[in-house]
Amino acid sequence: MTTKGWWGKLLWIDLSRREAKQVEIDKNLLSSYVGGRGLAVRLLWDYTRPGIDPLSPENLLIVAIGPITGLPGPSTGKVVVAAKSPLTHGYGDGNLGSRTAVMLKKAGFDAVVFSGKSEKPSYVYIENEKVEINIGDDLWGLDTFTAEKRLLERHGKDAGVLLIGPSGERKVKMATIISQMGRSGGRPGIGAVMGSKNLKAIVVRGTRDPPVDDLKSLRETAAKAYIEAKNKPAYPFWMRQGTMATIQWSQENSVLPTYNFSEGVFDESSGIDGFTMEKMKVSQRGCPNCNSICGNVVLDASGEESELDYENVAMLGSNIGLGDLKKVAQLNRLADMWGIDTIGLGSAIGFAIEASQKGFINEKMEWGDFPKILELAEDIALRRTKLGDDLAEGLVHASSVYGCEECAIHVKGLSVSAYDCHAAPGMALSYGVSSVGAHHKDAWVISWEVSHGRFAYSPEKAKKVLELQKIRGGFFENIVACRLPWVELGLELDWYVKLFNFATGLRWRLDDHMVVAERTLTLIRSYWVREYLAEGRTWNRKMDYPPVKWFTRPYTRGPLKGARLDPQKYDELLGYYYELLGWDHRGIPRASTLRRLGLGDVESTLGKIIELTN
Amino acid sequence: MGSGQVKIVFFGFLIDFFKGREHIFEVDSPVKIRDLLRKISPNFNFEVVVVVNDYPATMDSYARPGDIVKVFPHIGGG
Repeated sequence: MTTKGWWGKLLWIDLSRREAKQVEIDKNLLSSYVGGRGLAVRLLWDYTRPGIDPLSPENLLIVAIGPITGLPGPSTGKVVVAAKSPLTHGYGDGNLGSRTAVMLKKAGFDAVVFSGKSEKPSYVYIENEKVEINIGDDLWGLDTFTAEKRLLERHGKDAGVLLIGPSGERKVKMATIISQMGRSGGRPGIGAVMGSKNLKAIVVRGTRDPPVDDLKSLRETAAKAYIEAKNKPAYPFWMRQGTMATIQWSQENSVLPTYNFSEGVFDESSGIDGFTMEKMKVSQRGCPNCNSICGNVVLDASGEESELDYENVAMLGSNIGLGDLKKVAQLNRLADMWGIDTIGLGSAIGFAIEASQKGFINEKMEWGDFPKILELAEDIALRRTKLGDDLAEGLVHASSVYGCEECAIHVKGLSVSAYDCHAAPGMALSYGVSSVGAHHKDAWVISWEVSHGRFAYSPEKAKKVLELQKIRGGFFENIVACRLPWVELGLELDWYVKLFNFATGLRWRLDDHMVVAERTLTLIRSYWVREYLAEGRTWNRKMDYPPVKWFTRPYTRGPLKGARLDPQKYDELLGYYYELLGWDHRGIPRASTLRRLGLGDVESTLGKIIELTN
Repeated sequence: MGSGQVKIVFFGFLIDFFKGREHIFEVDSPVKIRDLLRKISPNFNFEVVVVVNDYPATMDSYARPGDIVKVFPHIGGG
C-alpha cells in the first residue's frame, strides 16, 4: 500500500482535556475510503457511541481533506466538515472552498477530529505539528467577517480559517461553517456542532511538502487540465455568470422554487437572474487552486459586498417572493455573517410565510415583504423571538409546533435546495436518497432529466440518479475536489483520476473510485439506520420520500400547470434505486451487500440492532 | 400545413457558440431540431436541453411552423 498522497495521520484534539495527539490512520482504511466524506463517516461509525446527542461533547467534529487536496489541479482547494447532524440526527456534512484545505495538507494531516467541549469559548491554532487551544473570548459574539479579519491580522493573511458566527454559537440547527467571507459549508447544522463545543474558529498554517508519488507528472497533468478547462466552450460565459445562469435555466424549465416550492416559475425572475447580476457585479472570488472561479460579488441594498450563487439567490429570492437582487444580496450577506445556511434560511422563511397565509401562524406575513423578511431572518439566525427560535430548530420542529406539514419542504429534516420537483421525479428521488437529507450536491440529475423522458419513473432514471450520486456524492466528496469544472465546463473525470494516481502512486481506474463511492454511500446509510434506531426513532422507506406538497398540490400556473408527482410511481422508482444498490425494501443495506463492500464489521453491528435481509 | 417561421432562442454559453441569441428559419414542414442546430453550426456535437413552446422536448423533437424552440446548455447549478 502506498504511503504517498496521504500523510497517514490525523490530528485528534480533545477540547475537554485541552489535549492534542497525532493518530496514525490505517493505510487500508485510507485506500478503502480515500478521504473527505468517506473518511469522515468511517470515523463517525468507529468512534461515536450509537444514539449520541449531536450537540453533546460526545459528538465529533471532523475536518477532512483528500489525497489531491491542496495539490496542483483544478478546484482542489476544498475541505469537508462532518458530524452527526443536530438537524437530521443522521450523517451530516458539507464542503467548502478554503485556504484551510491547502494549509491542512501542508501541515501534515489528512483530517482533524475535535472531541469533547471547551470549557470556555476558544479557537484552535494549528501550525504543522504545533497545536494551541486559545481562549477566544474576544471573538465570541462576532460575525464571521469581523472574526476572520481579526484572526488573519493575528496569524497572517494567508492562514486558513474555518469559523462560526452568532448562529453557530446559538446552536441554530442550520448553522454552517464559514471561510473567506462567503464560503459556507455544513448545511445539516455542522456549525451548531462547532458551537456546542465552544469552538469559534480553527486556524491552520502549514509549511511542509505533501507526500506525492510523482510530482513532475502531477504538475504537468494539472497544468494541462487547467488549460483544458479554460478552452471549453462554456468557459467564457461561466466566468461571466457562474451558477447564476441557472436562475434563467430553472425558470424556463419550470423548476425555479417559488413561493415555498409551490410553483416552478416566478414572474419577477429577471430581477434576480444572471444578467441582472452581471450589471451589478463589482468583483469575482473563488476557492484556492481554481481557475474557473464562480463567486460573483455585487453591492447589496445597503451598499456592502455580497457573494452570490444560484442556490442562495433562488432560496432567498423567488422562494420567498423577492424579485430584487440587491435585497436578496443583503439577506445573503447577512446569512454569511451570521453563519447560517442560506438555503435553510430561505426555506424557513418560506415556511413561515405560507403557514401565516394559511392561518397556522398568527403573525401576518406576505411574499416579498422585505422589511418583515429581514426581521424574521434575524429572529431565526439569532433566536430572537419564539417564532425565530422555533424555526431555528428546523422545519420538522416548526411544523410540529405550528402544523402545516405541507409547508415544511425537507427530506429527513434537511431543507430542499433550489430545484422544484413537481415535474421532476428523478430529481425528487435525488433529494429523497441524498446522503445528508435533501441536498443538491449528491445526485443533481435535473439537467439530464429534463431532456431524457422528463415525466418518466423508469429504472433508467433510477440508474442515472445512482450514477451521478456515486460521482458527485462519492468520487468528488472522497477525493475532495469541486465538481463544477466537470459538471459545468465538461472537464473530463479522467483528469481527476490521473491526478489521484500521480499523487498516490496507485493505478486506479474510475471504476475503482466508484466502488469506494458505493461503500461510502452504503456506510452512510448504515449510520443513519444505526442512529435512528439507537435514538428510538423508526426507519422505513418513507424516510426517502420527498416533501408531501409535491404529491398533493399541483402547480397552479406556468407551462406545466397541473403537474405533480405520483406517489405510487415514486415508490416504484425508489424500489428500482434500492435494488441497484443492494438495499432491501426498507432502504437498509442487505447483509450480502455489506459483505460485498468489505463492510463485514458493519453487518455485525447493524445485525445486532435490526434483522438484516440477506 | 402551411409554411411559417421557427424561432430558436439560445441561452447561456450557447449564445456565444451559435453566434447570436436568436435564429429564425422559414419552414414548410416539421423539421428535426437537431438538424436546425447543425444548420446554424455544423460543428455542433454535444447534448443540450430543448424546450418547445415552453414544454419539455429533445433534440430529436420536431419543430413546426410557428414554434418557439428554446435551447439551453446542460448545467450543474452549484
